[in-house]
Amino acid sequence: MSDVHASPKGNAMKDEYHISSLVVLHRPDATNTLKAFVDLHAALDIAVQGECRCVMVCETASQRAVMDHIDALEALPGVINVSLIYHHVEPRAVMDDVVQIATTSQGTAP
Amino acid sequence: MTMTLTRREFIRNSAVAVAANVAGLALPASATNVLLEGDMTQLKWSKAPCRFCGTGCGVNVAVKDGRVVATHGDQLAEVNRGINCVKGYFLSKIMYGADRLTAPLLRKKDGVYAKDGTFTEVSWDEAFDVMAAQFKRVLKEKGPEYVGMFGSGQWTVWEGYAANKLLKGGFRSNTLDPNARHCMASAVMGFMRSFGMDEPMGCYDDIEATDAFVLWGSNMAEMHPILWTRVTDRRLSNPNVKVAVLSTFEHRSFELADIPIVFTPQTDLVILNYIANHIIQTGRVNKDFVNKHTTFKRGVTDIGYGLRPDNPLEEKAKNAKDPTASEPIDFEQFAAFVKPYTLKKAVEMTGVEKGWLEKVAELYADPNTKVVSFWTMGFNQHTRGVWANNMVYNLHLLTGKISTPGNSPFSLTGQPSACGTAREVGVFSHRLPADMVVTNPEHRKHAEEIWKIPHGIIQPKPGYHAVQQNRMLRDGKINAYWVLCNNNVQAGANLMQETYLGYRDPRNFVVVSDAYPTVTAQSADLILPAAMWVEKEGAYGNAERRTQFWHQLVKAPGQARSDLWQLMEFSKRFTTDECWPAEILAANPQFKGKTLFEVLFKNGNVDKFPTSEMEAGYDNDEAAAFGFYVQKGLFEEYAAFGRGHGHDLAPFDDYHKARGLRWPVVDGKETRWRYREGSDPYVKAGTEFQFYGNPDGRAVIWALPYEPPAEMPDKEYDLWLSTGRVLEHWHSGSMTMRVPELYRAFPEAVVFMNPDDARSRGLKRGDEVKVISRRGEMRSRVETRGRNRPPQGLVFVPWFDAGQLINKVTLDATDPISKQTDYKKCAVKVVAV
Repeated sequence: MSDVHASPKGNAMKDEYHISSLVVLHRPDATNTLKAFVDLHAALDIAVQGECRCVMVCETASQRAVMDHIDALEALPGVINVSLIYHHVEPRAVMDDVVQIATTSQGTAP
Repeated sequence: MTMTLTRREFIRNSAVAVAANVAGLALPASATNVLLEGDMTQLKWSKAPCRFCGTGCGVNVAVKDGRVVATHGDQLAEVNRGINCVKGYFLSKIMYGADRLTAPLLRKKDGVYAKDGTFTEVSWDEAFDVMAAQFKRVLKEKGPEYVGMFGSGQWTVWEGYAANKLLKGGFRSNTLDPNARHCMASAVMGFMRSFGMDEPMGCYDDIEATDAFVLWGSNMAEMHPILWTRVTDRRLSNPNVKVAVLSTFEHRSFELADIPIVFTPQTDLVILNYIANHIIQTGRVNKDFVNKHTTFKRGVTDIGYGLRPDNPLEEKAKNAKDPTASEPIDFEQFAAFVKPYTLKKAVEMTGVEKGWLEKVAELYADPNTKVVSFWTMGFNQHTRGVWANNMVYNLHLLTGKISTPGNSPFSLTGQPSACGTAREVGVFSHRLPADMVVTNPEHRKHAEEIWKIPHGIIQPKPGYHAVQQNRMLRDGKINAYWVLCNNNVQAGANLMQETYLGYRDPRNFVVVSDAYPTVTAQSADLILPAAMWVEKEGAYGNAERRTQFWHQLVKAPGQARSDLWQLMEFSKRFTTDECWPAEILAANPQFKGKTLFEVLFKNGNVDKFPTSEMEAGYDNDEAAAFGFYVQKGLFEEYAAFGRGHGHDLAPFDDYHKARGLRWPVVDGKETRWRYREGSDPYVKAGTEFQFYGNPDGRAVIWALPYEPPAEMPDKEYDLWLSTGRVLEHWHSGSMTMRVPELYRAFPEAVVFMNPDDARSRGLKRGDEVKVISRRGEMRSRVETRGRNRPPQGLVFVPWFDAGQLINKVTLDATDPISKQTDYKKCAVKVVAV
């Protein structure tokens, strides 16, 4: 999210890593179709599945690939709507860095 | 306690948490360990409504080092609840196109202005000097009616209001119309004729309360995608809910349709009357509601097509001169009027299967089914668009399905402030704020009192409406013309025979204010660089009467200035002696010798609030330039028109805190459903419903027939042409075509065509073709697959692409009542290049 528009002039970072989350609205009987599609696409993962909607994570090397995945999902039978909710891009090299998170009774804090 | 994650896991969890929250889904345990990272909180986040359509989604906007670096859906915004469509997601990029205009550009030859000169960078002073000289010449030599302005449903509320004052109260010209004429005028006149008051009675909350949605000429899946996610959610979560989609071709909204209907163009009028007849014939009229709360009228017929008066169609039309006339009738007469619209006749005329027509009729007729009707341009851009609006209200009024949660005839809007600015502020050639009109002497007097200007300044005759403006430019009847915040050379129908000739006529001086060099800007004599969206403090009003504010968050580039600054600064160059009649000044000597700026904007109202009242931490370039809190002064003066009259707006400062409020706002409370007792503070106790826009408190049910369109396919021009939008681009594409992701997603317009039609013309997908009408032609490529699937005999062409101007082809026929162009129906042929 924080860096999605950081390069408005188009000078994109090289070797990027894009993590996006999508909300997919679909007919209840399309759940299996979606699962099968996600199994075939390494970039996609269903994080939370509801009866007629799910949260999907999409991890790609470019923003264009995110849009391509959204287009492909929207073309699936039974999928009515795909919304891009959150998008974050950083250099791929820092993805395995370790982050310490302090948890509190209310939840967690950075 | 601490836990260790990789950065990737951390970001993934954040992404999932936000999306799950938006979707209303519980998080898996593995994704709960998130909070925003420290570096994200270094950004300054503020709220703003989206810049694009009339839905009015809330977005959060992040600024870093004077630039907008991120936007995301505002989870606190009731409209969109954290979701954005693809255009909204890339919103911040609209300000950073490489060809952003940053200095005034004047056509010059040998160092001076020349109509046939080339665009040359000039200072604001020189630009306004030349422009003022031209406007003064026209005012002096020709008179105020030769001065005109074309404004916008994308203007902020105060920009529209300042323009209204400058034209009607300063220059004394009523020739001020918004581009909203092209999208909302039929809806406005529909509301006025049925309810005596503009804008919907319901709100978006109806979506979660209804049992059935009926889309009339609306592709919400692409044009109002966020509202479509709410409709989708309602339908998928409640299997009993039904969705009917009616259109002249199949589009993405059909994917959710339980009742899919593709009808012959113009025969929506037949379906509407068939449903009214079905309700009556099956005994499902809500008699109690009809008796207490409605009256009946029959409108005149054969009203023409809003073409030039010498067009044979106009000469032939019996009631082209007075298309709004009507006579009162009773229920029995109405029932007899719609009786010929039987199912058999409807099937014959519409080409729709009988079963589907019965099903959609039953949604309205069944007393136990709550119905929301949604419509946009399919109804409004229609030579009988006002009738279509009236006729859908008929269905809701006959059944009493109105003004209660889930029962809602709802006109959607295409621009972010078509309602808030164009309609509510009255930026039309016949209107004043709060539904008042220039033709009513009491209304003029009231406006003059609020504006603190002498009586007699506002002219009683309506000015030229949008389509008429292009015709009058061509005829040399408008000679000084200012276009702001719209792209009418790309939008206005019949470009080759009307618009372009007028813009380039040497009698006319044309100024265009825009952020980008649109085709309209390039057709002008002077281009003024405009600030956009969060480069200025703003207010928009969306389709559900929700007024929303935002702060200026960044500076406009170079010398770009807001339209508000441009309008007010320009007014300093005129005195009352140059613009107002001598006799009015003689009777009101205190106004003599004053500038228009002084009488319109330093009038004790607009300059009432000092800059110290601005919220700390935000720039306000207009307040800095003029020395007072301009936006607050304009808004409070404007709000005086509506308070106590059913259009109440909250105090200015409240809107900077709230995620918008739906008017009327009375005693701090917004109104979700108008005209119903207990929900609308204006409805008197004991009345149940009160349609108080009409003096008798009753809504009008209209007897109106089917009449054919202005042009239909024939032997030579054998296809219907319908035009419209696509998801990725907004209107003429002047903003979205400059966002790389959106451009790549849909880089150029295509001709959506039925595969059989393509085959029979020897064409295949991707072939280059010409689309030709009696007015002009354009080149494009054939598309036989994809999101739009026209039936045989119809092609659909989107209009966002400046490289493929479909308005060379379209017909400038309008609804004679609303003066809105029908962009959905004309006859063309498609031939291989």
